Amino acid sequence: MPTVGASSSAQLDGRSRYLRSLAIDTFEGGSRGHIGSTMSLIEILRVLYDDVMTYDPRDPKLPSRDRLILSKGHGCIALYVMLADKGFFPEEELSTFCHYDSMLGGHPEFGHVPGVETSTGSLGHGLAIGVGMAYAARLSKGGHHVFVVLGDGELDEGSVWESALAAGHHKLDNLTIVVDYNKLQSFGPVREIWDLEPLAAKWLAFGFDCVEVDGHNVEQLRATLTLPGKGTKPRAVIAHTVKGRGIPFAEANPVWHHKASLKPQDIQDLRAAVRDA
Amino acid sequence: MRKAALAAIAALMDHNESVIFVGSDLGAGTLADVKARHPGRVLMEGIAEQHLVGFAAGLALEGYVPYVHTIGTFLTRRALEQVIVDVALHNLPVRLVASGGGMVYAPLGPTHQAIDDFALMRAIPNMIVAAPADPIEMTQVISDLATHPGPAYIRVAKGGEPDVTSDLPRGAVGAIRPIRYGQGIAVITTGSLLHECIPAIASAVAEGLNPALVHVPYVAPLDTEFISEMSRTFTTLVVVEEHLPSGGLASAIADVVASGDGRARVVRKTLPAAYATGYGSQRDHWESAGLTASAIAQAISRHQ
Repeated sequence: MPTVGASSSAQLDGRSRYLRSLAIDTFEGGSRGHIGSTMSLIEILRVLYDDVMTYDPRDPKLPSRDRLILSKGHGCIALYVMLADKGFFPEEELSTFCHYDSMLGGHPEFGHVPGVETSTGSLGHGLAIGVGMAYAARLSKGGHHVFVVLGDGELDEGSVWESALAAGHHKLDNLTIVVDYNKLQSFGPVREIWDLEPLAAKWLAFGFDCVEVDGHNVEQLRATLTLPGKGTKPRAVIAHTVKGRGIPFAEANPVWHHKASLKPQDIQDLRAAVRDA
Repeated sequence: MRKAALAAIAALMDHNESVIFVGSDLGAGTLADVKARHPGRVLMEGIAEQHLVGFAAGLALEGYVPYVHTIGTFLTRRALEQVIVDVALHNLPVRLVASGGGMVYAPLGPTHQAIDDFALMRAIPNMIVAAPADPIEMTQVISDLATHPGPAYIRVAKGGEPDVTSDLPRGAVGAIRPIRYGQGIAVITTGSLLHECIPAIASAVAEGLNPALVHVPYVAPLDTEFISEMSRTFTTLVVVEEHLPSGGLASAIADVVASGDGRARVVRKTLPAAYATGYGSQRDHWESAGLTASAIAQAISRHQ
């Protein structure tokens, strides 16, 4: 297990670089995007969609599908990339990001994008919805699982902890939350804004089973996210990640949290960085 | 009226497995009998309104119809963003059943007084805003909204209101209910103040006046055609509501009148634009704001 605050030591393979190249296509299309927050999420979503979740891109509303809520909605480009890669919609759509008539906005929207389960954007909303979905799945005896991906800065929101208390109380073992713990918020380091540590102890105290992994290590993520549940608790997976992972000049650099007017040279630099990552 | 609301929800639950009740730390024993019949569908959750509204949205996304019940100010103020983003933006069939509409909780102070709920809820696209006047109408509203595919806010009055609506023709969701036809001046009201307006109209009639009275059980969506027609037919529309002067039914009616070709003047009889400084009873505040039958009757005489 990585130590608290450790950076990832995982190498990026061809698929991880390819998914990042799709993310850069998306940044280029909109000349903007949450770059750091997208790049830290890629392996988490890759493993969920490649190896863990059950779904059918031709039938995004399939009742037996596993649900994924990207509560940190500003990381939506990573989700769009995965949904396009899996065939929920054509990859060409990525280049329309944030255009007036695009279905792909700066935060994901329910009803616009096939495969997006809920609209998110304002932080601290996704877990409550996920708890509702997991409770509904239990009530209707659906065998599916609910995954909620949260940002670390998002954990400042009090509503997250209301929902954590509820999930633990109801022993929702069909619910897994993944914290994209990239250690950096918009302004700067999480530990300097509001230190979350001891983070695992918080989830344990709220009635979750809690596991920490290297959030860019595909093998570790796969092994953890496919583990059978304990049958009595929701699970929290703390994924230690690097904001901007795969782009050395953006890694752990709050300036690259969000860019609103990317120039062609920026896109070239991003592409070159990912090629060499 | 709350008893009628809970009974109506319980009746829905008995016939529809998708209906779920979500309470927030309500009084001891609330719906215990219903919980015994439907153990998984009567939830008594913690004091966490933001979570509860999001949770209800999650249930609704999965095909359930949740009735979230707690004190109105906590639903409309504390959980406003969840109501907007999680419920209304997704246009989900979540019902917000709000205790303590208006000044019901006068003795508990301003944190519990839902004097801005219409304004907050009316501002939300897709939201139905209902304020039934008596238990029979509450039962009808809950029943009429049972299959509505979008969200609804239901203001629950104090309770103990006599039946004044059962003889009225039953309208569709959003329908305005005329109580008395008249000329020159019309009183328009919603919720439990209908009970003050009825005797106010009677005393005005006894004085030889001929005011009309209409009851608006649905503040949103408002039947704008009906109000436009009234603004052409009458010279004065007196709007009586237990709400701040801005943002509620009076504002909604003033908007319609201002954008139509009617010439009626809109007179507001509402709570003052202030947080209450005293406690006492709901009626104390009605008296102070001029919302009792006698004050409304005087207003009718003055503006006739």
